[in-house]
Amino acid sequence: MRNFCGALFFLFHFSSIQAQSFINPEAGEKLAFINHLIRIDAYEDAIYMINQMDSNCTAEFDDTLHYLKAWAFYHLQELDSSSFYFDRVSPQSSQYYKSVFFSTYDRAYKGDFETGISKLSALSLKDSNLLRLQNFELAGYSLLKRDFQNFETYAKKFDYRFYANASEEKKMNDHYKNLLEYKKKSPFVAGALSALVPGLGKIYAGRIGEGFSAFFVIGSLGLVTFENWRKDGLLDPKTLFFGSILTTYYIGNIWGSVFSVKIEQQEFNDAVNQYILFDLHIPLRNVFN
Amino acid sequence: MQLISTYCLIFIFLCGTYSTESYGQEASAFHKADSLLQSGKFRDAGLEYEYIVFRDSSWIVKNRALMGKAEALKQMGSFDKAQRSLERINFEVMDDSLQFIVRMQTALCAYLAGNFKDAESQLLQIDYYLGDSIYYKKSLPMRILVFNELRDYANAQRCVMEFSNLMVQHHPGTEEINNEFELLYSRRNVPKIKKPETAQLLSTFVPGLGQLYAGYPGEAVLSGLFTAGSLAMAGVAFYFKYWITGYFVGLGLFQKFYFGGQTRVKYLAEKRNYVNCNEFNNKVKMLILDKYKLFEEISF
Repeated sequence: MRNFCGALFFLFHFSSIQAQSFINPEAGEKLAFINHLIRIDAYEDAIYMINQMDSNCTAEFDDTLHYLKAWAFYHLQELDSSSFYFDRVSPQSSQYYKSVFFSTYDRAYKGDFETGISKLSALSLKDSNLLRLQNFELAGYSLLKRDFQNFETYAKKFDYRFYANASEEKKMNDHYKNLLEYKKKSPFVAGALSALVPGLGKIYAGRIGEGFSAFFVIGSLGLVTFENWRKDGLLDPKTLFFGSILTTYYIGNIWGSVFSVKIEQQEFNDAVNQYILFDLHIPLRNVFN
Repeated sequence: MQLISTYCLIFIFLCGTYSTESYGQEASAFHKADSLLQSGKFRDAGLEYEYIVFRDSSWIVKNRALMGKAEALKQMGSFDKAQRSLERINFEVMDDSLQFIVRMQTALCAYLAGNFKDAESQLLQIDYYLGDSIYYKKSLPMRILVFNELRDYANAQRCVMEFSNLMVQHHPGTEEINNEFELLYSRRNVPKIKKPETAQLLSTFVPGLGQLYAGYPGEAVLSGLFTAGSLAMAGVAFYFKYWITGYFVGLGLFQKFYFGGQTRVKYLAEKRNYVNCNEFNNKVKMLILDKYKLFEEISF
């Protein structure tokens, strides 16, 4: 009896699959063709084909179209469009988990952390490897948000055993240490130091070469102005000329030192964020490709 | 543009012949794609051809479809993609005459896409895989254009003389063609390539001389004036015992103009080469296109 029911179930399931593809064989073949276009890197053509296709009124078909479109936009690095279509893949689709992970990544790359993270956190996964990946990705996004408390919570669950993200977990810890050890500099202090000794504020900000260059230029202008003042007096045209150039450079150097602190900080953050995003991306490609 | 349309006509004609002769039953599969191509809907035509490539397992059919796709992409101006489509073709199922056409088309697309090394590679493959001298002669115009773009004027001149001799041989009374090409490729006309390193070396010894060598006399004079002027300024300052002013301002400016001039002169030499070679290549292109109709009439 059990065997008969099993056979009946199998026959029903098999025939329903066949019935789905026979409902609209042309659409099925077009989907296969779109997959072929993506395989040969013809992403614009794949999107063009998808746009020309009518919806087949089944949710599964729509999910496939949305997923393929999102995947094509992802390869074209149009991440806004990519995340939009990844979000339209329903939980019933076999590509749902991949869509959520990549949608969250796309949004994080554009600087939008909250929308994707909440969806990723809400995923209820049973597969242990996907759980590891989810934990790792959430840790990375916490670092991007500079939410160190949350990062530490997720980092405690790193086990460095999953091939897809073992080395990236170590790198994420390194990024965390770099961020903790980074000392923020004060623009006021940089300006005051440059007022005292031209170029010192820039060296304080971390721009050593610029600091020495500024010191040399302003120093030499100062000496030239002093020489002309000593020989020809304060009101001599040459003294006034070199003096005004010196003043311009001196004030400019103080102003530049104040901004260089902010610029240096921005560059550091951008560089760390790029490394974090890169290390977040590799496990996604390892697991889902 | 004339060259493109000329090659396109040959291509379409021979592709049509190839398709109807080799696989009549597949002709209907191409009917939709060919109609779209003829009606100017190139993007849709390209997709239809790619669909045939995807669907069919026969390489004869795939090759025909890839040629059609390349044609559609070429009409859209996507020469790089057209080249990539043609490079997917399987030559094992092709006879020599069709292989020649495909390789010539690939070379043309590569040339139009600015990939001159790829174009040269296709021409070398014609020599290697299709040893018949007829194919070499038929490809002479393309060789001339490609060698010119690669600044290989010695080989370009050799091909030009073969081209013009062929024309005179088959069209008696057209001996002036030889004179035209000889004049074009005379020592006076062929661009002399300026070496950036030589220009820089000349500017090291005499500021401004490198700019003169590169063919920019105005900049040469300016560079010389500024460099000499700043050195003179330093000298005058030292004479009047303004030691610091002379050193930092005079010699500082001299250093900027001197080394800046050397960096600038390398760019100027490259620019001169680009301008001269472009001008010469355009003259050659016009002459080749002008004589191409006569070349087409030759039966090899």
